Amino acid sequence: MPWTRAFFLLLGIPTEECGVFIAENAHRWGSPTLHRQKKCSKPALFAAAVAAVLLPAARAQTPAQAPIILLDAAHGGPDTGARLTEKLPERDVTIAFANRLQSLLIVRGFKVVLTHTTPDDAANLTGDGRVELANRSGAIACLTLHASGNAAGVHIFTSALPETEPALQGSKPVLWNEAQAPWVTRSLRLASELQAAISRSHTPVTNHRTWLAALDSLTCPAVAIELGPLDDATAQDPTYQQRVAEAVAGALLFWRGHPNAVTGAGAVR
Amino acid sequence: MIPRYQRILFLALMTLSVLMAGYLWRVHQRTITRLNSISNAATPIEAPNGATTQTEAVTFLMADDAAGTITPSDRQIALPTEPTIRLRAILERLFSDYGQTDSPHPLKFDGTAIADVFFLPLPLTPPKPPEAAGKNTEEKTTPSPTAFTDMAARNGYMAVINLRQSFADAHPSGVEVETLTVLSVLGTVHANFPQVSRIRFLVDGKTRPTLAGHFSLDRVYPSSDTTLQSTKETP
Ligand SMILES: [Zn+2]
Repeated sequence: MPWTRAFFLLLGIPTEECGVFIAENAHRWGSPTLHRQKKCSKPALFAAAVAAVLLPAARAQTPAQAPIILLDAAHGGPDTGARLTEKLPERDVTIAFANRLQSLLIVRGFKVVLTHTTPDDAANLTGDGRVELANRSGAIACLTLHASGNAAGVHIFTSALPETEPALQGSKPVLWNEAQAPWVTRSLRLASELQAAISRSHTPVTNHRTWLAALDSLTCPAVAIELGPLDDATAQDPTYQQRVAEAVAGALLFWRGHPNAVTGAGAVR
Repeated sequence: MIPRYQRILFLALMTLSVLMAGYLWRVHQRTITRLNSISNAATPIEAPNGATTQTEAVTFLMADDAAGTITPSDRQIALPTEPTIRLRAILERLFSDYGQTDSPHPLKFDGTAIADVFFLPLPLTPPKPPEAAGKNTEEKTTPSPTAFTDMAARNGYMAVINLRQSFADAHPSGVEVETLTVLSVLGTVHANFPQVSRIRFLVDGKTRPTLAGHFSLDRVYPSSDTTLQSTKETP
């Protein structure tokens, strides 16, 4: 009976034929996606379409589900990072940029987790410590922030680990420094969203892959962003930082509805 | 009175001693000149067997900071045939180009960038037990030019590049700049040594976590084409 099936589907109860398929996709992507299957009758498809429209809307109204963004201002404590000028260490710029980005994200309805908030409170924070914090946070995006005094423009990086299919990973043990591998595809998507947004803000931006310990152990869509100098501004320039931060925050707002914006179980050491 | 024959013998021996002293002095002088000429010679590496003075085309993958690219560029240079000396010469040339002040990817360092390079046959396996080793007398050691190609056909090699600490310490710090340096080296090895499938870095014989605070230098990298097209999106 097609209409009975439709009724069940509307309630979110899968029926044996096409419902299973829809429910399966809902589980994988976070929101139900409609796929036409031969067995699905017209009323069933209609019901699934209504469910597809209604379910995410209902979900967005739950306040407990404010999406989390993890911001890691790279360096800090005794690790001062690069020397941008004679007196300006990288750690001071990254923390300033992280704090700026944090406020922009909060006003856009995100929950922000920072690995540290001042250059000095990172004194006892190890690289692995940051990753553990990130992997426990349940973030839909993890951003590691750097600044540089030599390479011009904004640089976006994704882990150079070969992409592995999460489904093939199964229950195999995951190496600590390769935990990002099943996430690389999603990280690449996030990187290209960020690149497009920063480019739209009239800032030169590159998008490459690299080997960074801070990225390779993360179990979330993860990207490193490095602020380099521009012709008319250095990385610590507030206007430049604000422009890039707004572009990043805008891109994350878009990312929030993206099927790849999923959180992981969290690998902790 | 001394007998006449004794006086003659004494004079003969005396003359012989003087002649021998003169000869020794000459040999001594000649040796000194020869040793001086060797140490003054301007060849830092011992001229290898089969060294050729003919130049050949070598592909370098050159990094460009401003564009954020790595592009192949062919140069004509004279190279020895022995693989390790050859790889070292190519990389020294790459780094000496980056050492120029007008380089698009400028790196400042004193002296040479590379301590040494060597190849390890893959896969890396523990040494055979003594009885097994006795049967097989042909052990894998430093590859000779012909052995190199034979072995590579089967497993490939890992190239180990031992950088000098003075080079790594002087390298500018930043994700982009460090990434471009390493990708340029990986790509240059890939372009000229198809036998190499893996690449590792050491710094003064030890592993180093990062090149200059960012790029993880302690991993094993696949040898691949690292050409980077300009992805720079400029308004
Ligand atoms: Zn940094």
